Amino acid sequence: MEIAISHISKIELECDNLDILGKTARSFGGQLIQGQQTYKWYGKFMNDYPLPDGVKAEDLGKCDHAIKLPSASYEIGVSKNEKGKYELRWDFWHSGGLERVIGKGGGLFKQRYTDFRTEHELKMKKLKYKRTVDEKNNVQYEILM
Amino acid sequence: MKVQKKVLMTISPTGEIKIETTGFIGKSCTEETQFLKDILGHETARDLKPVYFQKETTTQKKWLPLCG
Repeated sequence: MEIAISHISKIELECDNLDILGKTARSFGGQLIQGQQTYKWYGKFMNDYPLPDGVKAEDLGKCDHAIKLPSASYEIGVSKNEKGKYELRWDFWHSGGLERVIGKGGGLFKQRYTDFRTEHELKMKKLKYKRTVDEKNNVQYEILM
Repeated sequence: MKVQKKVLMTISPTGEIKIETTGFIGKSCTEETQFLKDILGHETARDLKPVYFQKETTTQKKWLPLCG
C-alpha cells in the first residue's frame, strides 16, 4: 500500500534549551559558559561578508552565554533573541579554528543539538520512535503519532 | 484499515532539518508536527502535497434494530 506524504517542512534552527546546548558543547569536548557576555572572534568587522539578519557591527562579540570548544581559539556566542530563543553566532574565519570542529556553517553542531533536543522532547511526550543514522551521516527519526 | 500516522524527520550534517508526514489526511499533519517546529526554530519552506487538501472523513456506523 502506498502512503501519501502530506507535507514537507524545512526548519531554521533556533535553540530554546540551554541544558541541551550545554550537552551539545560537552559532546564536542567543550563547555557552555553561562553568563559569559563576550565571545572570542577576530575582533574587528572587515565588511567582507554580510552581517546576519538583525545584527549590527557593534553587536559582534557580544552575547548572553558563550561556548568554548577544544582546539579552537574563537568561541561561539549564544544570544537571546526577541522571541526568547537562542541564536548562535561565531566567526568562521579559518584561523579561529571553529569550522574545523563544528563544520561549515556550524552544521555539525546544529545537527547534534537538534538530535539531542528532538530525542529529549520525544521521551518527554512518551512518543514511540526509531532513530537511525544513514551512510551520509543524516540522523533520521521515524515517529509514530 | 487505519493507516499509522508517522513523522519522518531528517537532520543533515549541514544542520538542515526536514520533516515529512505520512498517513495524515487534511491539515492535521501541520498541527501534529507543530511541537517540533516550536522547539527547533521557524519554518523556512513548506511543500503541501495533494493529500493535505483532502477532507477528513468520518465513518458513521448505523445500528440496525434487531429486536423490538
